[in-house]
Amino acid sequence: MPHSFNLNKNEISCWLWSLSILCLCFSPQIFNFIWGNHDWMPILNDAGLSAGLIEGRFSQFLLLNIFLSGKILPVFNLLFGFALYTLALVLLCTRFFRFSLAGWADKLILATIATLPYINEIIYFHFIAFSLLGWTLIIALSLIAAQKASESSRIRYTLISALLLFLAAGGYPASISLFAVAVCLYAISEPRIKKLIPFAVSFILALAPIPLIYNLLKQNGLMLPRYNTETEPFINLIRKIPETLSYSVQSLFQPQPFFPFGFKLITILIIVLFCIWLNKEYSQKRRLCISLMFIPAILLALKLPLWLSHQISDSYYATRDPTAFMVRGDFYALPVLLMFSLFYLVKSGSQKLRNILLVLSAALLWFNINLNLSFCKTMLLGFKAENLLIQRLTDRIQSHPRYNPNTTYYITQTGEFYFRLKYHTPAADEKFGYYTLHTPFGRYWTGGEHFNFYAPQNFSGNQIPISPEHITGEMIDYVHSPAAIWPSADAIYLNHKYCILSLTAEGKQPLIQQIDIIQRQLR
Amino acid sequence: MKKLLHSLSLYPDKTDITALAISFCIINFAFLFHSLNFMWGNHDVAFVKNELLLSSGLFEGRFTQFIPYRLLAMGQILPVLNNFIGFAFLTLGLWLLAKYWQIPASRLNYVLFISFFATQPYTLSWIYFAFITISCLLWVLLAVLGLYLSEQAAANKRRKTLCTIAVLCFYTTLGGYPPVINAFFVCFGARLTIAYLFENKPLKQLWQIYRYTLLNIFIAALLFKLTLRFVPVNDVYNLETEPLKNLPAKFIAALAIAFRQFFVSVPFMEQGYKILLAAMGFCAIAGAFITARNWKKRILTALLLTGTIWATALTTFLVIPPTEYVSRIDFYGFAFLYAFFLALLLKYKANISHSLALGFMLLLIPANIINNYRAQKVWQQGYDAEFQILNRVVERIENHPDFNPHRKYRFYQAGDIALRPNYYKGTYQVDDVFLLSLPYLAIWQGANLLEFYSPFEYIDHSSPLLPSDITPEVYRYFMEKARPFPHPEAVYVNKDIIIVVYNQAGLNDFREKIRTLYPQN
Repeated sequence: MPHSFNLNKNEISCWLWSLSILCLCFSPQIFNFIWGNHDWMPILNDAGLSAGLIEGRFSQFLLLNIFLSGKILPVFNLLFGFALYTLALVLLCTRFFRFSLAGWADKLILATIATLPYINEIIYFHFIAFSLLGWTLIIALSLIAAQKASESSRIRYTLISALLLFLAAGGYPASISLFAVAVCLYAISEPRIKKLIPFAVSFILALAPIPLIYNLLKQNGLMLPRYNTETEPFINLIRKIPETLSYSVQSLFQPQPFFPFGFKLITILIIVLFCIWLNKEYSQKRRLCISLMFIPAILLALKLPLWLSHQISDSYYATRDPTAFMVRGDFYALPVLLMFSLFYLVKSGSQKLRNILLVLSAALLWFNINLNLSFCKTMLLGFKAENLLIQRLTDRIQSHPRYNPNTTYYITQTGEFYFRLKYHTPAADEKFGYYTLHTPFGRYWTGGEHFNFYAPQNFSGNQIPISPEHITGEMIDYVHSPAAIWPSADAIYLNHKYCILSLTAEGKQPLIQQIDIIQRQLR
Repeated sequence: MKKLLHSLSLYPDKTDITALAISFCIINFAFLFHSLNFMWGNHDVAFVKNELLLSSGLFEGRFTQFIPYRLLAMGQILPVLNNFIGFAFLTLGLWLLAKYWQIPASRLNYVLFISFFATQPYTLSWIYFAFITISCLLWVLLAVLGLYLSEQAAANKRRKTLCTIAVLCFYTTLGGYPPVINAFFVCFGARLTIAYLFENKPLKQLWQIYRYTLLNIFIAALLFKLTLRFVPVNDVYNLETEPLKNLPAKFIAALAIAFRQFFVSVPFMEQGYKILLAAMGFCAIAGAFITARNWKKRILTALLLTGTIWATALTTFLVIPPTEYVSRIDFYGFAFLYAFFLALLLKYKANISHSLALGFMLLLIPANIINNYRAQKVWQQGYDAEFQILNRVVERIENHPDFNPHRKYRFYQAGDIALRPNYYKGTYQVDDVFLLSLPYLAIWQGANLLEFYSPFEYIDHSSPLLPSDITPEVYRYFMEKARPFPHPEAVYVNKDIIIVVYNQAGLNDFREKIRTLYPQN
């Protein structure tokens, strides 16, 4: 195996080329060190190996700790992550699907795939970006090992493949879509059961221990039930197939922020051309097989996280997007499908088809560069705007007459402002885009992190429910006062223990309800 | 395509591609700080937030200005890509110019020529306003392409097609930024000089070859003027052209300005730097006289050179507003002239000339890059300083007891603050507003600026202050109490209006204005 991993000149050239274009697309993000709302603490304190256990992601920070000692670094994290991701694409292309990479056309396609805007949501959270990008390489290696297992050293390679997939699934369960989609596509070119057995064994071996690990973590209080940790009971999976297939098709069409209809249309065209070509190329028997089995299987694999997960709403302001339209999930599925489709058609199609595909690919690359940089622009400006607001809020708290620098206040932030949206011109009919556009950089529950971040001393503790004995008449009057909303000078309430920030009238409602309930109980 | 490029001698070989790649990297390096920090000028505020429409430039007659943005960037001003695309066009345009002027083809010559031109601080003036960077750098490529094709048309079977494309190139560029006409004539004058001096073509032959260039430019200019008749233009300063009767007198004035330009220093192009450029020009001109074999040829060469230098002030000659010593206009004139001097040095056969070219470039390219970085530092610091003031003003407004974010206010900004000059310690004779003294917090952008980073949209953009807004209370406040920023009385908010006073001159203007609006007057 080691000798086969020496990259040849073409592979290196294609890798560096796609990496360069990807870096161009995200250069503002790489060089400006913007981070998401979960990153405040990890940026200060690094991400330890156990940091992901709370949501069952037991291997989430493995790669980050191995390669970067758990540190979240400007430039390096994304650059290194991009390098692993583009290498994964090259290896999938040349070693797994066995397409040769030679001319500029191959470079164009590879750069197009590497820069697809599905990556936007992956890099929003800086603390997991490196791992999320790195899993693609781990899964690519897992796929190659499983492929090797069908040729020699069956048990050894199957175990290697399973171990790699296990690590990736333990780090980010949705990443298994990549494995599933790639195997479906592999099955089209190698439809022999014997060849597919190692993949199936690897898949089962990798995923079987995960529910056991989850149970173990839950029993020990290390993992909390969250919206992203619950799985469907087996019996529901059959029932969910039509719904998942329907969502899979819908999400191909639905314009989303940074995925306008023009972009979606090109991707659909490529997939449709691929399906037509498959049906044209194969015998009638195989055609039926492709239509009845492979196409639904691929559609299901595209939305594997949706199919397997059971969505619960765990908190106020939890993610509002349906899982079917979470771009993070698509990142592990659609690029590999589009890459296979493009290379398959370009390598086996006529010259005319090849020309059409290269034009489509170039158009898609143009979309990718523009859309990714547009995303970077909203990140840059939104981050700046929200940080300015945090600065103003900090200033108001610290200049409040009751402010005592020796007290740590429990901050109750009611409402949130998300500013990235201000710098985005929405396309017609676009929907969703929670992480790509809506989620704020400072969440209502991260007060203890973002207010302390630039302050000379820690004055802010994370939000805790206000205890009944601390509810005073003055506090009740403040909470019920409709005028006490940002940016009014009365928007901040401070006593010896609590600080309430009323950002929006809508956000204040849960606090009003909470206080009313407590008051009723006390009466 | 390949065939077409071959037939026009434009198919790039390995030397061309390497030279293009190296030059492109040098140019991007020279402006890297700007590209990565996503700075923008005071015209860009609304466009950075929203998008550019095809019609955005119509009010000032620039009907093609935003076509490149719509085609290439989906109408958006994007970080990095904006400069990147602009520099790509500039690099290509200058490579084409090297071909047009027939600079001896070598990697070094091309790299020196392209890098020297593009890194001149004149280019800075086109990256200050992000909303026109791509277009105005693309116009270089189109202008040179028009000239190149016009020349090729003389000896090509597809003359009509080439001429049509050339007219289209000239027309598009004029429709985007009319002062590009300087570039047409500087490049053309330089090309005539080169053809006369190095190709020994008699005047009659020159006429036969280059009449198409003149004809194509004339047709494009005519079409441009005709188009303006159908475009809904406003009464703006930059469309005012000089009446014909004034032109003879202005001819001499333009010539004087063109020659004086060699020695007038502006921000980031200080005296020493200008003298170095002038020395290169002197060497190039001296070389031309040495190369010309007899006095008749020397006199004609002198005339052609004078014409070329005069063309750098062509816009100043044609329009009413003063445009001399404005770097964004000189980009299309003087930057080309200096490049022409370098081209001459590279073209002379004597070894000393090549050594001189190399020597000048070893001094000038690093000087260009250092000047650019000085400017980028000053811009960044000025930008940060001005936006910090803006944030303080926004906090004062939004923290005002009479402020309600759900109301719509009419807004007025009295005066502005330009802080870039605070961070520049160089000396210069003539200021260039775009390079240094233009404020980011411009008076007429106040409303857009206030809302730029704010969570709220509370300005009534459709209406300026109304006479009814100047109540006795408002009148008294501004006549007696108001003071410029940072005084606490610099921000006024009531239930209808918000007024911010940035400087005393602005306050005085505003006082004059309300005297006329105040109902008791």
